[in-house]
Amino acid sequence: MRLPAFAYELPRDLDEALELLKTYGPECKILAGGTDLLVRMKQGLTKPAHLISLKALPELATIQESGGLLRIGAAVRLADILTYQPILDRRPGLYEAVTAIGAPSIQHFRGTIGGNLCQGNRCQFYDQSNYFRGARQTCNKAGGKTCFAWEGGSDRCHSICQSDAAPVMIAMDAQVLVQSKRGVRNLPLAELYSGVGERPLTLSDDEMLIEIQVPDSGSGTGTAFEKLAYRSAIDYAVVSAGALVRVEGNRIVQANLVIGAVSRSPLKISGVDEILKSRPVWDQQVLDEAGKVAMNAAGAFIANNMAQPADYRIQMVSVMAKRALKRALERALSGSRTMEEK
Amino acid sequence: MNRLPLEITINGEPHSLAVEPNRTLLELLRDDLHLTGAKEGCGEGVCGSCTALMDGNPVRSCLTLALEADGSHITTVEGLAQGSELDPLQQSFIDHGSVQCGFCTSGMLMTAKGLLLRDPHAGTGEIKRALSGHICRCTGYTKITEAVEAEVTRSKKER
Amino acid sequence: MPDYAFIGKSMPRVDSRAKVTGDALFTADLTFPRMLTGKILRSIHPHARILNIDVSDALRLPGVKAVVTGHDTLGKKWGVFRYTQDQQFLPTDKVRFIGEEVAAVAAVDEDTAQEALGRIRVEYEILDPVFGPMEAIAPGAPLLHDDFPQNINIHVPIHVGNVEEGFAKSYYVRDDTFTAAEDSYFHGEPYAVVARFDMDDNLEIWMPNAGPHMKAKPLSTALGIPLNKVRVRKITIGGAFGGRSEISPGDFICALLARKTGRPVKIVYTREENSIATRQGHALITTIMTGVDRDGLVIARDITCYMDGGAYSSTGPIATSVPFLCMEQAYKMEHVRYDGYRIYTNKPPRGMIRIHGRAFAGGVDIQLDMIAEHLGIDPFDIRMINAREAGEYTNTKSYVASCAMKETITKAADRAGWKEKWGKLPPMHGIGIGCNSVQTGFPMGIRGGSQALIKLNEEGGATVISGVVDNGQGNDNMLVQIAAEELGIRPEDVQLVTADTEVTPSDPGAYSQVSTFIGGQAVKNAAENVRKLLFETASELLKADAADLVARDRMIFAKGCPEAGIPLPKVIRRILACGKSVSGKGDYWPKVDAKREWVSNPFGQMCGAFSFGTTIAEVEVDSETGQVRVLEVTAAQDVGFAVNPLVLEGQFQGGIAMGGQGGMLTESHTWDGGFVLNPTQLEYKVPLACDMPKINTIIVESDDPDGPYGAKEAGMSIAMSAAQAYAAAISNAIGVYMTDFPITPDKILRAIAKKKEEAGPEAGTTE
Repeated sequence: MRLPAFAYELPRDLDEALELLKTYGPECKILAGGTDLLVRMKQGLTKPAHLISLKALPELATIQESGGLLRIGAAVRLADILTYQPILDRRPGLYEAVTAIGAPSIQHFRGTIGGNLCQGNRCQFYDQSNYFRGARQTCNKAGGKTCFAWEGGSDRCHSICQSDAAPVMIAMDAQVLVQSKRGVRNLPLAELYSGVGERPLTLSDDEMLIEIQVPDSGSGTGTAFEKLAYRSAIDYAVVSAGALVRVEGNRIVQANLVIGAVSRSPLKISGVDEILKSRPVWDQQVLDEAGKVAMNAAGAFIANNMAQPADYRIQMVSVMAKRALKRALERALSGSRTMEEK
Repeated sequence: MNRLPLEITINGEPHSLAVEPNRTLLELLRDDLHLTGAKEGCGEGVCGSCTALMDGNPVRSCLTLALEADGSHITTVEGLAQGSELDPLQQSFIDHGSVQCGFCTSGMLMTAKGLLLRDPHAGTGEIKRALSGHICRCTGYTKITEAVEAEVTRSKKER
Repeated sequence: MPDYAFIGKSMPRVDSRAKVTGDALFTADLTFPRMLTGKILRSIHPHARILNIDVSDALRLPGVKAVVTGHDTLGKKWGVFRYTQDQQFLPTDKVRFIGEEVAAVAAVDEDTAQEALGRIRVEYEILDPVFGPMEAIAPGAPLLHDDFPQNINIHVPIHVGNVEEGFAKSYYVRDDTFTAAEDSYFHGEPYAVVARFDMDDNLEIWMPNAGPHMKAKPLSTALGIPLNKVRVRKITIGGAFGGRSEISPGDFICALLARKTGRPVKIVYTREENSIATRQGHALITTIMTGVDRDGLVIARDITCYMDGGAYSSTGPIATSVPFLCMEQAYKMEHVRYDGYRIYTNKPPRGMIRIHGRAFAGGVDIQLDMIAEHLGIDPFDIRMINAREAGEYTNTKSYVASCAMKETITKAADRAGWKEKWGKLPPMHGIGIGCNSVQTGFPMGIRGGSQALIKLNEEGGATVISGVVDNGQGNDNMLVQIAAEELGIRPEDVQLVTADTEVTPSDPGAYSQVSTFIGGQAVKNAAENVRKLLFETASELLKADAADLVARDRMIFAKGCPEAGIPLPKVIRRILACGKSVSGKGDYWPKVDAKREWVSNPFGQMCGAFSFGTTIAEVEVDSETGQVRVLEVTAAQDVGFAVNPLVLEGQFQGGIAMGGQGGMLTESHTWDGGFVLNPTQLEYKVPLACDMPKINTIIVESDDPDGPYGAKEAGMSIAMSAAQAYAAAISNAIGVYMTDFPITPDKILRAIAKKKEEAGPEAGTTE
């Protein structure tokens, strides 16, 4: 399968990259690992006239921790996240999420964390070849006026954010640094996502993701990521859930739950915090309730954008939510937030 | 498209080339250099048949621009053997019956090689996880896993 | 057992080295000087009349060397059988599925070819499509082919005995329907064709194939050139799995472009094209009515099967028959009736596939479990009671000379711990058994036999010339093992010239499981004839009786006196010096009933031998997600004789992955009308290494009297019985018999929920 033609830009420093972004704006795309972008280009889903390579920008590929803040450059390879001991030690949810992305030999050496967070939204009618899509009306996401994934059609796009890293990082209250020639913006990772299927990121055309910052919530915190997929690797999630739970003594004082793979952006579930805070810690019923809340929230978004049946996916939201919360809770309670011995 | 210069070492041999930006590493290998060991099984980075090592790390060459490999050392399946002497991993694949139709073989070998370069003591779990980025329709993966396990054991003994 | 040097030994395959070095050339790896890139324009409508095709704009594009449409063909319709001639390779009248070939271009590079496709204007008159077999045979349904009313492509009617009588005297009768969506081959290698005409106007053509001789004749007919000018060449092949046997439009189109341009042309299919425009498996709706006596012995069985055949016939009569045949081979039945219907639909053509008929096979065995439960007996016992035995005839009158079905059942059960586990596992934990049989061959008329030629050079090196093709299953190595054994030389002394229709004699091909049984036997016979020649002269030299001679390790000696032997080259030189050549031929034609025909006379000896296999699977179901964790799979197959145990184990393991792990858990195509929504390996879920369970393989040998060394087949039976075992194990785990395949997690959860509902509010929770 051939790539369309484009101009290859190799900026030697960040400023040069930002200058290119400013010049070419909507006609260019950032090339990190390319494992998402190049597939889309081969399928004719995107035809940027310029690709801006991050190859010569090692400054975007550093991980460091200072004062409890984990700072991960957008171009950090997924493999490097997996070998960064402090993540393994204190942020097992993130470790779990990154491990679940693709497979070691696909994503982990070319795939980047920024690439995973910024990947294009997916839909079974959109992520198809030129041949397939050329035979039907153009959908909203492709610049047309219909949606094949929504019963009766729709004037909005119902594609899915399939990032495996996003749910747990949002649950961990991650922030992102976004930069352009106009300056740097610091915003919650959750706000990187627009909820608009046609244009899933809130980045302007001249902006790029520079860094993700993950705060350390201190001791008594547990994180976890659950991914439901039919195979052990390669697959995008059917449903995923990222959770962070913080306890003080025996009481839950914070619970964040984000559901992935059901909506146009990662879905923060509100109400989970209240439910978990309101009752004694060890209560299966509490988790069941939280699961139901997640399920009800997600239900509104589920569309026919994936092969797996909608009713199954909705049910699984509850299951993944409960499992992620439970494991995060167990980690928080045990005091050790690390990966359990398997 | 203008061609851009590319300095790349493939199986130890340096090349000075000029390539179009949209040339993938796979196309460079197969069509320009006639190294047809890496295969196109899907073109989308799913099957793993195109896997080559870039500076020792397995990459999907069908999703890697040739220009992104500028300055890199690429190893393909053709570069595993030293002359007529096979890499022990290749020999292990032969001995264990790990090769049926052979289409996925080069990708499997490169990922396994990359794994063992990083971790010569890789356990079964890691081996299987690494191989799970590859699709094989023939073998059911058992004998491929066994071949890599056997090479780990053999090289341990050698030390 | 005789003291074989190589037969029966686990040895590495001779083709492995080239594959691990990357030297082995697959079709897409070939390049020739001045080679053009071909691309095919495909229909985007499932059913439409072609009104006009305008290629003028495409021809104007610089770099385009030729464009072909149906008007460049002889317009003939082709079919695997004379009564299934329904397909033009480039249609002139209608397109009948999304993906069908409509036109093709040859250009200097892929980008130009792709652009040229975009410039071809096709005018269609859209017709109503039909996408399922039941809709297609309903009155008033759109007709795909004028000669086939009600869209019935094939009807195989078989009635042996009297099923009504049989049911009347049965103790227990039940009637169940089983369904399965289509599965798909997903060979590692996407289809590709390279064609060129040489300086003598001979067509040389390379493509993945399961039998080059099967490709050559239709090419010759379609191109209007003599058969001996069509050379289908040997190439490394990335899997066939029952497909890639009959000619593909891509073959013809590539040859046409090569002829028109006078240059070599290469067409490489994308993964999507491989999935939608070669072949898929059949979707099936199978209704099975079975009557048994008090002990569970089947007295009568009545099966109706509707197969979604897609737009063209392909190997229709075979596909319609095989699931039934596998069943009647595996199990005894006094009375049986079968109505198999292959129905045309506006979907890609369906072909024979390694796990053909998972609804049929899965259904037969699940139903046996249902019956066993009703009778209060063990699924193991009901298999044993009904299992085929040697010396019996199948209902359609094939004699089963060798059969170790019961041994496969008991051995698998022992190894899997069946007795300890059946009925004793905790909820959501299950074990299941599946049994099947596969025919070693079909009646193939003039193509039913294989011939091999062997020549020896003066150094004792042998060249074996055989039409046998290797799709990756190890056939090349099998020929080398046999030749080396019979000639008394070493594997490295054997050169193979195989699967090349210019040079090698006709061979039935690999897709009917006969490569060892027929092709290997032919090589064995040829080698024995050469050995006879050698022994004649050696007996003079050694002053011993030819009957007392042994050929081994490049020496010929009298039995018991290896130290007093003669080196083989010396014997060869002696023969040559006497003015005689050192070569030989041998062939093998299986003893089949030449009058047996799939539809008009489905009775008589089907093939030379049958393999039998049993798989047992143990699974754990996550009752919250419906996901299945397969703990252990045990596969036992009667292969007749294991020519190479290492190769057989690989076949079993691969069969379990394809038939069970993929075939029963995740594999099916999803559709949007006539569009395949999952043409790539991302969304069509073929299992990965970490998905696979622990596998135990057991080789059982019944020493077939006709098979070479007693060997039969080993590539298909486990794939089928694994599918059955997985379905049975999951059903056992959740306490619900699953009747729709594949058994995806959502179906499992629905079944569990339904069972809970039916059990009522008083029943406890399942966990």
